[in-house]
Amino acid sequence: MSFLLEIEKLQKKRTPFHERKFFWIKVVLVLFTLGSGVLPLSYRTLSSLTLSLLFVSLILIAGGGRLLARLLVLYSVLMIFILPFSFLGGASITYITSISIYTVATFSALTFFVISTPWSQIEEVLGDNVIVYAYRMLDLSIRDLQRVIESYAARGAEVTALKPWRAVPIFISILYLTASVRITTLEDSLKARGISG
Amino acid sequence: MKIEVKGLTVIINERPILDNITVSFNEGIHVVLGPNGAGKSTLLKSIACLLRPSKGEILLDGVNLCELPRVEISKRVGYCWQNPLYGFFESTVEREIYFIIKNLRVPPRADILKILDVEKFMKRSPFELSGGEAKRVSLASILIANQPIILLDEPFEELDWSGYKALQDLLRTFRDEGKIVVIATNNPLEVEPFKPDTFVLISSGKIKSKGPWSELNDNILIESGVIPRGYICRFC
Repeated sequence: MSFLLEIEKLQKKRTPFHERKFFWIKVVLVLFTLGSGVLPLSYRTLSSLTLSLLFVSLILIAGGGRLLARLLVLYSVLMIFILPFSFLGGASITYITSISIYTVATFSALTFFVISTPWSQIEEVLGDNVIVYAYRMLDLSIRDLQRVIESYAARGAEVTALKPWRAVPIFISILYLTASVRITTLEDSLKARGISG
Repeated sequence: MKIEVKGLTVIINERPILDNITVSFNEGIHVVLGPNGAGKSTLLKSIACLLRPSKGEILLDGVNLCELPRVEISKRVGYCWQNPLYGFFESTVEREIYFIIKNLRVPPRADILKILDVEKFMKRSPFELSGGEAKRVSLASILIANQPIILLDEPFEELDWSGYKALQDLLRTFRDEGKIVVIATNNPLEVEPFKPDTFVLISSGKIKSKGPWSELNDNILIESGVIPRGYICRFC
């Protein structure tokens, strides 16, 4: 199952965390996690570790274990490339450990927020504003990307860790699709419905 | 009511897409025919003032339509784009359909939802719909505002039999109500059942022929690369 479908499936679940009354609590938790990056190193490591454990537990309770596992695999692959460069660049083990745990904390916080917050709830709480529309455009781009990946896979061009260069035409397609075709049609559809350019 | 396209020329990236098009549409159903890339969509977009013409003007009852504010244009002209999914952006079908009502502040035309049978999708994401369902929703998201002028770009694409019949019924209703309906298609067979009033045949951005629907002949369609009406009947 694609990431997108998995996220949509999780958003449709009805756990207590999906309820509207938790919306602002989740927002505060995410902001607190992001803000913990400014804490002194030792406090940051401790708070990030605590928050990582908290959000990983919450993701598991919300039924996102499979998604979490896939994200952690991706994260690990990324770290395999990043860590050697960091060491070569002279970063200390303490610093790298702290940053790595902080990344896990922020990533798991955002993942928890996304899987437990249906679209309708964000619109319901925030109304129609720039943030909501920008978030929606991001969602549209991810959907487009998913479609392009599927169309490439259907023609036998699956992107794998061993053949990452196959992602190049996909990114070119998505840039063209998003920047040109999608934006032009969306612009027309909005204007046709009374939004002035 | 009358829409006049006067000397319309559209040049995009130094390539002429429409070249000195002059045509007018009164109440009734009118079909813009032409092969792929002929300029049909560009003509519709120009009438809806979504494109700035390089030359020429669009007059509605003698008034330059494109000089009106966007909201006023959209109240008068309902333009439905070709690829439904690319025009969507809301999270539910209901929000997508009522978006125009919110912007134009006009009363919704409730029968559109029934005729196009979209009420059953209301709570779904527009991006989860099939091609035909998405087409119905894109049509509803425009037609619900009950504009007197309707421009439909390839409206029958992807519709199943019930969708086709629903749209056909709707177009007949629009004709009875005295609306101006302009349909762009490359297949005259799609519109044949409800006997349009006139046709305009475009090829390479120029008008090849125009006149009453009864005068449309297969030879000129074949010459212009459009499916002739007699073609299917060979297999009947």
